[in-house]
Amino acid sequence: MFASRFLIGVRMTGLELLRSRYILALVFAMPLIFYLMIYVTSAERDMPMLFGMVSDSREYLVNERDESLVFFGTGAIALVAAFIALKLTQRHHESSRRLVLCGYSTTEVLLSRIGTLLLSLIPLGCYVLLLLLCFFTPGSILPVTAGFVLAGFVYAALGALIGVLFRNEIEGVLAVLLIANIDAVWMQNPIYYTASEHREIIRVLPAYFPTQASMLGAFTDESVLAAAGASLLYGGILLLIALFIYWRRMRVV
Amino acid sequence: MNTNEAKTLLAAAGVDKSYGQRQVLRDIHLRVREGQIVGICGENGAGKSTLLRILMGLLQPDAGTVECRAAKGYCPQQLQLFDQLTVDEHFAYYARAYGGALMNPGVRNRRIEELRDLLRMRSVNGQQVRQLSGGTQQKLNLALAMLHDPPLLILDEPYSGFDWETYLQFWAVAADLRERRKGILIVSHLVYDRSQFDLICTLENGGLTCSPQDS
Repeated sequence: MFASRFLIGVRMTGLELLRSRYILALVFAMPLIFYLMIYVTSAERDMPMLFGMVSDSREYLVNERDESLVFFGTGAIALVAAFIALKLTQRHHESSRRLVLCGYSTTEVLLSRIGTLLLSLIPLGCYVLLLLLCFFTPGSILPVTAGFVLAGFVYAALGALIGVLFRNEIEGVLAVLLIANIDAVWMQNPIYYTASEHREIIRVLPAYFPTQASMLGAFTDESVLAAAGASLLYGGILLLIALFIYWRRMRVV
Repeated sequence: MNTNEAKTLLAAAGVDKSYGQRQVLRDIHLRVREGQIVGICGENGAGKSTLLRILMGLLQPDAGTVECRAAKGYCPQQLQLFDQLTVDEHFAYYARAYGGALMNPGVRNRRIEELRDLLRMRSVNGQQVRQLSGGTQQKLNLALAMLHDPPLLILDEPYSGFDWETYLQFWAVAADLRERRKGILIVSHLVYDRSQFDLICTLENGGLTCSPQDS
């Protein structure tokens, strides 16, 4: 019974996402707009950069445009994933609760919605990678893709947490925009990180590990396993907290 | 029907509920039996939604007990549907939730056809909810509560948004369900047609006063 309910839940959640014009516009347009803007406006020059997960003393000379393309790919996927998670947890909350009243277990509803979200991160990551390849070929493709997917994972978990904490849609959207803009599309940029006087703050923000995975994969020969593992742990903890709060809100007394 | 012989489907006893200093429900006693249509009415803010949430297990009362002795179908006042899913997809989704006989495709399809006829919603099967009129969305909201043919129906403002024909059809369906010994609890801020009910309870100042109706 669990499997059939889970599968139909995944199918219905998938259909919801595919039929949402807002989600489709976000998925297809945001990374594309980011890339076009960067390609047109960024400079072709080498800049010294630090990658926190390698060392804070070893500098790499990296082309600014290439770095920006990889960085904003990570930022775009983080933003998109957070918005999808926000929609899935915040909208239709009462409809999901009605499913629980009608016989689904809270776990079945939760897992099917979050499962669909996590499954959607893989094609999303591949789409952003394809866009990136139109402008720049990174040193290693797989670690960069992993970084993109992991950025989606961490921010999906964050979006889910924001979705269960804020009942108002506008509040949720503003919270996602604020956090993602400060973290994923600003402070994690190695250009900013290199110049920062308080890197320890940047290292605890959600997008740190996924960004490092993308950057190390694109511009160094360093292993990205530590960054990937830390991303999974960070996102996993956020997701567990979100699931716990969601479960409490959905339960029937 | 002699209601004393009919089985009790839902019983609430001594239910109290306060929000801070404000007591919303005070010593509520309510019983819904087989073959009975019970109406709960009251002004806006009288506590109808709070009582319903307690009866449905969505809210814990401060005191008292609620005992539900049968499977129930619930139609919420606010539409609780998925905008991007079609009518058919809703039926499939909820059939899996209810399980039981609905897991059999033949039974499920017969039941869905029956509901489409009953609620006059034959032409909208493949349409997404967001493309439906308010009244048709409300019909689907109601149909989902009735899908598993439960012994007890709890309906919150079930006919809001219905056109006159569908409103009359609703009461014909309700009368048929009563004949089939189903219990129906209808919560509404206005009870237009008192003759349709077996019992009407008025919620006022936190208390519930019930009076039998001559049908």
